[in-house]
Amino acid sequence: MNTKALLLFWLISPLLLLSACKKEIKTTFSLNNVALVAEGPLTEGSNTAQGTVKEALAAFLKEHNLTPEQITNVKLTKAVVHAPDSVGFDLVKSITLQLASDGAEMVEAGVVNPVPAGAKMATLQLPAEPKNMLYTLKQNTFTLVADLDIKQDTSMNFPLTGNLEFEVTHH
Amino acid sequence: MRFTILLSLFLAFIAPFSASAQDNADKLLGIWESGNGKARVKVEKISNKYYGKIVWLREPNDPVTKQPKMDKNNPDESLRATPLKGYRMLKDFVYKNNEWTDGTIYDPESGSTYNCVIKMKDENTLEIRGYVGVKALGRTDTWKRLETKK
Repeated sequence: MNTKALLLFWLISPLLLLSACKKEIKTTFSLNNVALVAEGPLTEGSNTAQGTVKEALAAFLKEHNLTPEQITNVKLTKAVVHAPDSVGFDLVKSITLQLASDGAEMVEAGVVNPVPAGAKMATLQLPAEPKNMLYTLKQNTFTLVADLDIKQDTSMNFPLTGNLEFEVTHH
Repeated sequence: MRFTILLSLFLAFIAPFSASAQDNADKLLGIWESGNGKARVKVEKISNKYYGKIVWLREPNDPVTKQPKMDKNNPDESLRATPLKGYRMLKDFVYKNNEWTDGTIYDPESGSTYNCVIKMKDENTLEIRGYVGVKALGRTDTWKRLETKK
């Protein structure tokens, strides 16, 4: 090994050792009771329900004394939607959930098709390879978008709530 | 005082242009039929971006299962139960320089997603160009408006 290569090895090896020691921690983070509404009149077929979430990560960062830069990945691990008790999901055939924001690409959160008969809550099938939602959650505001396949026309609004659980990877 | 007057004049001058740009951007809203007539797509606005979802299919049912078509070509197997009717095939478009850009278009027949730019030829005609990498390497489809914006 020539002298230059040896010198380079001694210079780089502490850095490699340091980065290997930088431990990654996984923490669960939840967004509960996000209110979404599909404004009526609703027509048979696909209708859009939306709900806005502001500063999603703020409380999590404060609680764990973190900066946004310390987070490397946010993975959705569970998504559940609830219908109003009085109505249930009787009117709804399927639900597709997405997260949208001005500063990041829309990401698919999951789907339930068909919605079980008589259900008042539905747990969504998540993507097998979940996308990193960090960029979406870092935005000041993002929109939770639910596409509801409605069985028949109705003049009502359709409100629902969403509970999302994420696994946050950080240093 | 002079600054306030100048600022007021400037804002009064700029406001109509800003409103006009917004009006032009929102011309994309409405229901559009693809060139092959197989699907109709409703474009809506979420926050400041434009998204389009399939609201009508000429053949809504799968010829084999006789059930409503699902996204059977989705690269992610766990999402293949997503109904095609309601599927968001246009995503994340922003209005810049008289076109809607920075978005993607999904082709349910191949399960592929392409970069996309949308131009309005006239009030009722869109040119939708899907491409990979550079705009020159792509294909343009012409869509017709079915319904005026809501």
